Amino acid sequence: MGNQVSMPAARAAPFAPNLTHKQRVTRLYRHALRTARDWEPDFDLFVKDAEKIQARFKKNKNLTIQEGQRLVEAGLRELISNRHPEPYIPPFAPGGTAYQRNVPCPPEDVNDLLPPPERRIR
Amino acid sequence: MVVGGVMMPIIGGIIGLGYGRKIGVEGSSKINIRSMRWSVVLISMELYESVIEGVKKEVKIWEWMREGVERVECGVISEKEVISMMWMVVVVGSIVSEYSRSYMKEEGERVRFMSIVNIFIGSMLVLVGSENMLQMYIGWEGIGICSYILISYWSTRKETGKAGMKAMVINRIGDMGIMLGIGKGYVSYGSVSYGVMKSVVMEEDKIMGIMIIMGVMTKSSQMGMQTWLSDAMEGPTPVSALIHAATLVTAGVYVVIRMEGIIGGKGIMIGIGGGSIVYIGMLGIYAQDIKKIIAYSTGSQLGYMVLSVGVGSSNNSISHVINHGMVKAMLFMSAGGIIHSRMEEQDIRKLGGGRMNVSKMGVIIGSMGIMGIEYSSVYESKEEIIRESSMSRYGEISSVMGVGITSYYSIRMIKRVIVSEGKKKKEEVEEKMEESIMKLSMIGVVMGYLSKEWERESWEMELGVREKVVMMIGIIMGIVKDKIKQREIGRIIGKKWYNEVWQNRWIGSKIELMGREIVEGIDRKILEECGRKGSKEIMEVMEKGVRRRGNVSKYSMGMIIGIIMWGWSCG
Repeated sequence: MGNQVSMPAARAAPFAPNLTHKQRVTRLYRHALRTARDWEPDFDLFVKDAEKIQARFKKNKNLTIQEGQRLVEAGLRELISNRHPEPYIPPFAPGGTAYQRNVPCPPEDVNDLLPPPERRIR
Repeated sequence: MVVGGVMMPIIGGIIGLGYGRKIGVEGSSKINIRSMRWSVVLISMELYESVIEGVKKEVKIWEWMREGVERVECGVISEKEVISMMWMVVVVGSIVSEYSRSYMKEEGERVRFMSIVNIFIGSMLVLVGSENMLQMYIGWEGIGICSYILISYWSTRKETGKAGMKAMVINRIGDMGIMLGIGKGYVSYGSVSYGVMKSVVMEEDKIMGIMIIMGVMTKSSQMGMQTWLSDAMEGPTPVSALIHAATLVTAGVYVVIRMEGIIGGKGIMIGIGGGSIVYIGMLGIYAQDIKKIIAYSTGSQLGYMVLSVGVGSSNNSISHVINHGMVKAMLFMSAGGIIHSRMEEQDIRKLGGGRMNVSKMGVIIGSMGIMGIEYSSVYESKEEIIRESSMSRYGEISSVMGVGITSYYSIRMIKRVIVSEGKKKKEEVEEKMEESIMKLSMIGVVMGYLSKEWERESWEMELGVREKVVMMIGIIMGIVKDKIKQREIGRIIGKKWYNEVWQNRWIGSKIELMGREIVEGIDRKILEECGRKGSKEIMEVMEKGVRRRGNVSKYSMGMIIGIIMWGWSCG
């Protein structure tokens, strides 16, 4: 599912491959809150949306793994359909407006950055 | 005088580029800013002569080429519209140069930045003051190249390189149209001079008009070709204020105004202009980046200018170009002040809170003017365009809808940035930046008051009831419902009308495939392997020989001298 949908790298974490079920659930929850925050800049109104999301996750806390995985898949589809066209990314974070603006030049002799010969991977 | 006004920025830029290392950053900044100030003085004196005294003249500098009886001479003309536009360019350029001295204080490569800004302004003046299409094209290309360099200023960032390249590639399409238009003009009228073409024209040339309109569509980022403008916000804010508000984006409209009576296609201009007002304005509904909202606003206002030319009201169009350029540059500089004070934060969702300052005041004044509140210069010209557009039903509907859309995203921006609460942050805007913002806002308000005093017959001439109702609807929607969820209005606007998707799929990918086939098939296989040893091996041997002797600089100088002598002998 993740490979077919284009999105900024900052929002791709729930769709990463090879995650445990717990990791997928926690990432889905965190990104659901972030998506709600993208849509609702007023903090007081965002808190109401956040409480609703929290209640939905708490209601499904004691399911089996199979039922949980099915719900996570449905949740990921809902996350894609609800995503903001311009999600908020902090300016200096990867994908932000000021990321990599003034990267310092590498040192004159790049070999100084390499580990000693006996520790290099061949 | 007018020639001096045109050459001063170019001279300042060349001195800065050539001797910047010797005279230092501060020294070259002073030279650049002072050369701009001199240009303002000289053009202002010329403005007095041409506007107040009504003097028209043409200063010819040198004869570029001759074909039979047709001569192409480079020079500068001094007419009311030309000098007014030049005055706007140099005033905005001068204030933005002073602003960028503070804004870019902590950035590297400032010498290059300030010098290229000067050369850009010089190129724009060459375009504006030209009497023939060839000289206009020199200026046109100059502003394109300078725009690419300035957008890609932060060259270590991948997105700025892509944005600069996108601007360049999309504008090339328009450049091709302009080139074809010049050729068609010569074939149809036997000349590239505006004056000669206007004197011999029997019927407006529609095909030439379509070619020139291609240039307008790309340079002035009209519907379908607007994707580069929002990406160009990757550049520093002074670049956006100067280039993407007041000068480069108005170049296309200006050329069409100069060629009124020569080129046809007025119906197409009405279609494109009216469509752009709504098409690009709607993109501002979803934008969260403050600079992108202002960029979309610029695209929408450019639609008003193109629409105005289409309905035959060039005077209103040039008036809107000048007024809008000043106010939009001020709006961008105000946004830059806010961004700078909030540690490069550009998202309006995070800009709330804090105290009122000059930058925020500038955002309010600029937005009010763009929306159509009285006593702003932009209001005067926009209101005239809306009135004149009633000649075309489509133009009338789109211009009135534009009032509502403009009000919506402007109020939304003011609400998020100024009114809404947020974390209390210490905001400090540099004094010099605030001074520049105040100067431009004063000029905008004074010009609006004066134009109402001098040009109006009656004080009661104002936006009609219909436009005021639409504006109030936009304002109320902006206050009450500033978050439109994707489901409600559709994904299509959220995806920016799928412009980039269809451009990549139908044009970009095909051109890329063709380019790859040319490289693999012709370049690598045929050209490199041709000859006994192959041209690639020959070049490698030559390069080793040159490098070993260490005379590359002498050979390059020899080449340059040879080219100059050849050019001299041809002339």
